[in-house]
Amino acid sequence: MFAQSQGEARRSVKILVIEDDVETAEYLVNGLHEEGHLVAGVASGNEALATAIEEDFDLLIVDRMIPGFDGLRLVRALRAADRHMPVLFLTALGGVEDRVSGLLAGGDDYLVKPFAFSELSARVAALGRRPRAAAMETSLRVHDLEIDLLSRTARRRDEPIELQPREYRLLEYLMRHAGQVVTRTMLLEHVWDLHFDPRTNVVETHVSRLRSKVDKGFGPQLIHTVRGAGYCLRAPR
Amino acid sequence: MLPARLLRTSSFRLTLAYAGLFGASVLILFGVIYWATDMYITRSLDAAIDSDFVELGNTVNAGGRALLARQIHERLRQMPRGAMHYLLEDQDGNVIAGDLPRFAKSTGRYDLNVHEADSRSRHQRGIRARGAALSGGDYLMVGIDAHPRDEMHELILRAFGWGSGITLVLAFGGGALLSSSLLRRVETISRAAREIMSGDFAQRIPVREADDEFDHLVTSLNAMLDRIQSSMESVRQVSDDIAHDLRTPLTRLRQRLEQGQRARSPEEWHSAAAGCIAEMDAILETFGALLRIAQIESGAAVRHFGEVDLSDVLRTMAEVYEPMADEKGQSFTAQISCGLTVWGDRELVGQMLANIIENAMKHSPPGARIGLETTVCPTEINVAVTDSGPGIPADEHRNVFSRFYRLESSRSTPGSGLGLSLVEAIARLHRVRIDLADNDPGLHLNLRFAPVGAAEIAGCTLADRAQGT
Ligand SMILES: Nc1ncnc2c1ncn2[C@@H]1O[C@H](COP(=O)(O)OP(=O)(O)OP(=O)(O)O)[C@@H](O)[C@H]1O
Ligand SMILES: [Mg+2]
Repeated sequence: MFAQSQGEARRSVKILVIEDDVETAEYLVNGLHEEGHLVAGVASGNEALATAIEEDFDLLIVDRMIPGFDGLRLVRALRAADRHMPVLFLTALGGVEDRVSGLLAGGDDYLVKPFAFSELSARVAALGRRPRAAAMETSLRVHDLEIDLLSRTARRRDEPIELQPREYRLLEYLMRHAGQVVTRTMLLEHVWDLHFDPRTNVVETHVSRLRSKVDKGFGPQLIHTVRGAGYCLRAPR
Repeated sequence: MLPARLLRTSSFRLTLAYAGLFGASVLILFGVIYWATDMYITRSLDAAIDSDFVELGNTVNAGGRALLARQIHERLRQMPRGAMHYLLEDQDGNVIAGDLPRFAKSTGRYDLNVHEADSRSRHQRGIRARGAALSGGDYLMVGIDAHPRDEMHELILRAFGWGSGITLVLAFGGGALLSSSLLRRVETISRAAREIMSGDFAQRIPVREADDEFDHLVTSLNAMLDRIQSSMESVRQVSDDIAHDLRTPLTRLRQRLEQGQRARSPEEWHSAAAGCIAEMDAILETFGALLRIAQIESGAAVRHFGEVDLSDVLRTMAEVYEPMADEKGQSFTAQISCGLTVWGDRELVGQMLANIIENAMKHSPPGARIGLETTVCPTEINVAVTDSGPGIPADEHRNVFSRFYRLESSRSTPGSGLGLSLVEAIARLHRVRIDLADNDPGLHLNLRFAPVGAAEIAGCTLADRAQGT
C-alpha cells in the first residue's frame, strides 16, 4: 500500500506543452522535467496536432492565448483522431467564459495564467495518473484510514469517524489523490464545485476541521500541509 | 424648407400615393354614378316614347296613314314646343308629317342630334328616338327631347371636376404640411446627433412632451446616449483607478526587488523573493478582479446563462462559510427555501453571494450574528444577508459599490474595495436588484431575483427599476 502510493506520486508523465512564448515554454518544460516528467514542447498548432497524433502522450498542456491558434479546435481534432489523453488548458486572467468553452470542447482541466508552478505541478500529477485497472473498487485505504465508497463512511483503526457529507467528499478527494499534492483551488473546484477564489481561507478552515476528526488522537498524522502549495494525504514514512 | 427636399421625404411620397389612390377611387365612384343615372334617364325616355309609339301604331290600324298624319299634327300643336318630335315618311322618302328633317331611316332606338329649327345658332339638341317601318312601306319615328339627360351629364361632370380638384388640393396641401412638420422634427434629431458627434456628449435631443412616437424615439435615443456616456465614463474611471490604485503596490514591489538585489545571504534573498511574489499576487488579484468586472459588464456571459439551482448555491455557501464564522467566533444561521431556481450563471451567482457573505463576516467583529435567509413571493425571490456589525451609513450606500471605495473604518482590514463592484456588475447582468438597509445594528443587504419563468414577464420592469436607482 505504502509503496504503491509513493510509486503513484512519483509516476513520470509524458507531456506535450503547446506554448508560443519561448520563455514561458522553457520555464514549463524545465520545471516539469525537474519533477521527473518526460516533456516535449511545440510552439504552433499544426506541429502540436502532428506530434500529438504521432506519439502517445499522457497529457497535453495547451495555451489558449496563442495568436492565430484555436486550442479548442486542436482538442476536437485530437478527439476525432481517437486520441483521448487529458488536456490542461492555460487560460486568460479573469476569463469568465474560457473555462466553460474549454471544458465543453473536451478539455479536462484549466489553469488561469499567471499561476504558481506548484499549482501546475499538482494538476499535472492528478491528470497524468492513468485510471486504475480495478475501477470497481468499493473502498480506499491509506495506512489505517479507510473509507467505504458505497456507504460513504470513514473508519480509522476500525473506529468510525463522524463526517458531514462535504467533509466526506473532501476526504474522498484527498484519498483518491493519496501521496499527491492537491491545491486549494483543486479542492474548491472538485469538492465544492466553486470556480472562483474566495478571499478568505475557506479551504484551510475545512481541512483543519477534517484533520481534527481524522488525525486527532490517532497517532501518526495523515493529512499534511505542503507549504505554499496545498495539502497531501499520505501514509507515514 | 426646400420644395425639392420636401418632395424627397418619405411622408410626402406617401401622401402622393394616397392622393393618387383617392383620386382613382373618386373617378370610379363618379363613373358609376354617371353610368347609373344615364341608364335610368334613358330608360324613362324610352318608356315615354314607347307608349306614344304604341298609341300611334293603333291609330294606323284604325284609320290608316291619313289618320296617323292628322294625329301627329294634332300632337305637335298641343304639346309644348320641342318636347316631342315626329317624322312620318312614305316609301319614297317624302315627309308626310312631322317636325324633323328627313334623314336616314334608322330603325330601333337611337340618339340623334338636330340643329335648333328656329334660331340660326349652331346649338344642337339631343333627341332620343325610336324608328320603325310601318306596313305599306311607310316609316315612323317618334323622338323625345333628351335635354334633361344632357343636363344631368353636365352636372355630374362638373361635380366631378370640383370634387377631384378639391381632393387633390387637400391631399397635396395636407401632405406638404405633414411632411414639413415631420421633417422639422427629424431635422431636430439629426442636428442634435451632429452636435453630439462633434464632441458635446452631454447634449441630449429635446423632447416635445407630446408623448407621440417621435418622443418615444427621442427618449430611447437619449437613454442610449446616457448608457454610452456612462460606459465611457466607467472606462475612464477604470483606467484612472488602475493608474492610481496599482501604483502603491507596484512601488512596494519595486522596493522589495531592490532589497533582493542587495541581499547578502540566501535567506535574505529568499525572503525578498517571497515578499515579491506575495506583492505580485496581490496586484494580479486586483488586476484580475478589474478585468473580471469589465468582462461581466460587457454582458458576454449572458450567452451561457441557464437555470441555476439557487437553493443549492445558497446551501453550498452556507456550508462553506458556516465553519469560517464559527472560527471567528461569529454565529451563522441560514434559512434557505428549497427548489428556488433563477436564470443566470452558477459561478457568477455563487461569486456574488460569496462576496456579500465575506463582507458580512470580514467587516463584523467577533461575536456578531450573520444571517442568510430567503423569502419567496410569486414575482421575486429575496435573499437577505444580514450582520450585526458596524453597518454602512445611509449616505454611503451608493459609494460602497464604486471601485476601490472602502469606508474609513475598514482601511485596517485587508481587501481592495472591489468586492461590491463585482457584486453590482453580476447583479446588473442578472437583473437582480440590491437594497441596502440598516439592520440596527449592522447591515441588511437584500437581493431580489426574478424566479425562472417570471424572468421574461418581470424582466423589463426589473430592468426599469434597476435603471431608476
Ligand atoms: N457587511 C458590511 N458591514 C460593514 N461595512 C461593509 C459591509 N460590506 C461592505 N462594507 C463596506 O463597504 C466597503 C466596500 O466593500 P467591498 O466588498 O467592495 O470591499 P472590501 O470588502 O473592503 O474589499 P474586497 O471585497 O475587495 O476584499 C468595505 O470596505 C466596507 O467599508
Ligand atoms: Mg468585500
